[in-house]
Amino acid sequence: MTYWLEILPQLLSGLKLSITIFLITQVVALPLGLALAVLSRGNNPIIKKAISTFTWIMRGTPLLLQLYITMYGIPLLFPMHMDRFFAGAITFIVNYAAYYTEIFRNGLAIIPSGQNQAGQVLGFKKIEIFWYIILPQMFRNTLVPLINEAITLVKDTALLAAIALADMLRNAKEIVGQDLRIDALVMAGLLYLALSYIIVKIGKRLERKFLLEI
Amino acid sequence: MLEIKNLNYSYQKTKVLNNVSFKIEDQEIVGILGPSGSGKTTLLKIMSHLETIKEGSYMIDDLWISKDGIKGDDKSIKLAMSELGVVFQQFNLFPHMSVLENVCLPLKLRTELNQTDIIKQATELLNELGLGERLNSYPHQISGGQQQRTAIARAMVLKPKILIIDEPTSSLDAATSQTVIQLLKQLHQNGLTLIVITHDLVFAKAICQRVIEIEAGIIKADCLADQYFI
Repeated sequence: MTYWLEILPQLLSGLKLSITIFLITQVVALPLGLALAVLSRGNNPIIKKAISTFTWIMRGTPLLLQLYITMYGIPLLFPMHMDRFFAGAITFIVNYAAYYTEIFRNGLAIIPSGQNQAGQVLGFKKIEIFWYIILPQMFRNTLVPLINEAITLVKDTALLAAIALADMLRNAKEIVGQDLRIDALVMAGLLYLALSYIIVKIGKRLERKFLLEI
Repeated sequence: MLEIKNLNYSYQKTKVLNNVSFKIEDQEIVGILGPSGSGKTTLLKIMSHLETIKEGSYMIDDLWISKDGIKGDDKSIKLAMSELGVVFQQFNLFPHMSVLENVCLPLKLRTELNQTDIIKQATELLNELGLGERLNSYPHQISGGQQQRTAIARAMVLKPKILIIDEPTSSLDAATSQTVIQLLKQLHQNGLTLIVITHDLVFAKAICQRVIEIEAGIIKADCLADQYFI
């Protein structure tokens, strides 16, 4: 127990980085994904093609590869200093925005056209129809996959170690290497589980509020 | 008053409406009858401004709408269209809102009323339509007949002069259909013009004063209901 308390601060410092990347990704990638999903349902074929190509590339290649390209590839093409945290955050944002785009696009696609028509005949503006009628239904349709993505994102933050960022898993590995004890890995696993548990709990609460009432 | 003149409409190469013309006077109850695929729904979409006119013209509340545009500014179009309420065949209630919220939303977005008055007006209307006990229910928690009455309340809450109701009996049993007939007659007595789009002849006979029969996009008959249902 004393040993666990000793190594806890180092693990928590890694956890802080994981949570920071998680929050930044959610805050930026969710609205970005929503904007791209809305644009992809417009009438401009060039924009539609560009968005579908973007989501295909980002979802079709490993996140690890994308991290390497941002951290090591881009500075080779355009000589510059690449900040590790910035590289990690931007890669996660872009990658998750692609997934969110597809989730939101599907969430929008399954809303019956009659919902839009009902708003139109009542004389609502397009923005009012989107805000009051379409968006809440899309949120309801995408809640479960969004919660799943949030859990995956927590676990994916372990990949930050690949660009030498001191995330929780990297710190745990270092402790194991120094002390030759497996405890740090077990603790890291428990902390990941705790984070996932919190997300699941929040998700369940949202499901109860938005899914069970209808 | 509502008038359609020489209306032609095609989906891709299929002609759906062929030189359709008719006029509906204030406080009439007109049934637009015809089998599936006859063009009734397209007509509904044009009348409710969900489809753009390609050939011909359409007048509502002295505002003419044609393929060349609408003779009037945005405000007058909005005003003219607010004379019209539409109840869809599938009702198209907002599933994430309660019965009361469904009816409050048009008041919230289309009027200057405060929240208290919005709730008061919507509740009064829902009470009149017998939905006072279901104000906080969600659409999936109420019966088909109650959903339809909610849709009627939502369409009526902005006090339109004309109500278009699409296939009102398609998802109702015989007893509920009778209730709908009584309700529509009551609305008509309060001064409403009713356009009922249906293929249900029994229902049409029970409520309509005049019948426009449409088949393959062409008007086959336009006469008083008494003459039509001999």
